[in-house]
Amino acid sequence: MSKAVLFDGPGCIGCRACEDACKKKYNLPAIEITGATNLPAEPTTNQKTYTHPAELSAYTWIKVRITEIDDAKGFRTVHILRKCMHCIHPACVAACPVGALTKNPDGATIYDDNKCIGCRYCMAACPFGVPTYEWDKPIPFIRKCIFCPDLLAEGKPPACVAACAKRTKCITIGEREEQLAKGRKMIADSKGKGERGGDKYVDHIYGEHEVGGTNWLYLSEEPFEASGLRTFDSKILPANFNKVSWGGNWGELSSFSTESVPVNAERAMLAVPFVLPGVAIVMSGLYWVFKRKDKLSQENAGKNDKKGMTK
Amino acid sequence: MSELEWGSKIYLEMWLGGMAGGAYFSAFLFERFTGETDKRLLRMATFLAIPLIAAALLLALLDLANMFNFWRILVAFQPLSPVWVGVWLLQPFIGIAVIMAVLWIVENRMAERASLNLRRIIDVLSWINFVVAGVLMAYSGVLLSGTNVPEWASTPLLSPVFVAVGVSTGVALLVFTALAYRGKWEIQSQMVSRLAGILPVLMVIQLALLGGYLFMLSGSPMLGTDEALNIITTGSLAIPFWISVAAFLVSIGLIVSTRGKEIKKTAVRSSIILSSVCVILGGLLLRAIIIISGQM
Repeated sequence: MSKAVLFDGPGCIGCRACEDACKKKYNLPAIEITGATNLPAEPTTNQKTYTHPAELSAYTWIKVRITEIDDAKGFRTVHILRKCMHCIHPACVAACPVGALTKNPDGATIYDDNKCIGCRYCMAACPFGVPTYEWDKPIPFIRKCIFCPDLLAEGKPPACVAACAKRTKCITIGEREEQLAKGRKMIADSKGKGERGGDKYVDHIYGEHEVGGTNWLYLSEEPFEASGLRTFDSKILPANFNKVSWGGNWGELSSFSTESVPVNAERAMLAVPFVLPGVAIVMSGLYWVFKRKDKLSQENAGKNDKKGMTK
Repeated sequence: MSELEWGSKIYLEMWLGGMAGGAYFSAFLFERFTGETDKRLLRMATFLAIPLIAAALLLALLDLANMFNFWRILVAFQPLSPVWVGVWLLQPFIGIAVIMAVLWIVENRMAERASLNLRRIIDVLSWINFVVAGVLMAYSGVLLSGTNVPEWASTPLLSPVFVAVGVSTGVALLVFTALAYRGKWEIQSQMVSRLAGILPVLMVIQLALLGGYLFMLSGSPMLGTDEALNIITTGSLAIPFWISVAAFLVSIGLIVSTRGKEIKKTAVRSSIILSSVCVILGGLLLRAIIIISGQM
């Protein structure tokens, strides 16, 4: 059965114990602000709040993104996790030409250093912009959260989940269907129980349907766009795009919000057989036009010659 | 996404691969239509394609961070990965092209009767490589369309644009080489003139597809496409972009100005050569711009 982790955004206090646990388990160095280590220095920058490091990297596989919102409702912070979402149909797995990335039945999208050729296509394919590269190493590899497959195999929770369990318990693991049911119940039970009188959660479990579903599911008190998460509803193509006939495949793009990403590559490849005869037909047409033009001009020249002869 | 670092090796690889595929694809079609039986143009396209594809493969290999693991592609089966498909297209294309080249050299030294069988083999191989060349041209566009980069994935027109660039740069390369080459398999000037006459039409199709691609980019609700369009047309990549468009327009003007004129005249030859260079370099610039813009 596929495992899923449910992240309760409003329950997160931003202690970053999950980040710390991940770094300890995989022996990942801290990213210095001043460049005291041999890793590139990364100054703290304002990403709608001051957090460090600012983004995921080869040495930071999970990050609590804290976003400050200051609007008519007042000042507040929103917490969300930036990490691999472990898609049910991962684009990175489909894109990898050597099978270095694979999807485990338990839900983990894992990576094999020994197979990787370093093409970085997985980075371009990931809809969440998660895989990162060890550019500072002579033989670099892709780095991202791998869902602690060794711990999952032993029936234990991943390091970050275990660390959170000792504090706020806002990151929990279970079977995906159970976690979805739990998330739906939390949303239903929270109506009108928000800090400012509204609902505690927005009525949406991020990851339930996005890109065909993910094994990490998020709840939030603010729309997910506010936390900088890519929302797939905004990718819907114009309504009239369905009318465009493109091998009968591109029309389906209008429902992209819930489609798994590997269909992107599949569609692009399926379009090829339709493009090539098109090119051949255009070139054949061009040749026919030129040939006819030559023939007509030769005929005209012949007629003119005959006229000249008769004169 | 900036970490992706797909730089000059990638766009040079795509440019060389597309041009080689385009040259072969166009030469094959052109000879079928014109009824040429001595296969001079196809021979030229094949001999040009071999070093171009070899260079493209080498560039692709050099871009890999762990290039010593490259052999793993050869033992993997990942038909949904455009990179895997691309490698499996480049290899048979260059393999068949090398066999064809060798057979042509052998055929040249054989008696007429004995060479007939070789010609039949070459004919079959040329058909296979025609299909592979076509897919090879489309492959680079497919590779980019299969990503989640808004500039590349938001319209279905990127692959047709790249096919058009492949065909036009391929034809331009054939024209350029045909004018420069003097030897046993020299291409007849009438044939070169006809081939050059196609270039303006190909340029118009290419510009129309490019316009369509940019139009779809502007109309796409996918996040980041407006920004990409601005980068290409008015932003940091605007100068090279408009230079490439100008190169395509100049190439049209140059070829049109030579219409009906004798190709043996130096001024006419120079115009056609310059036009071909504009198409080839404009194609490189356009590919570079599209690939760079996707990472900005």
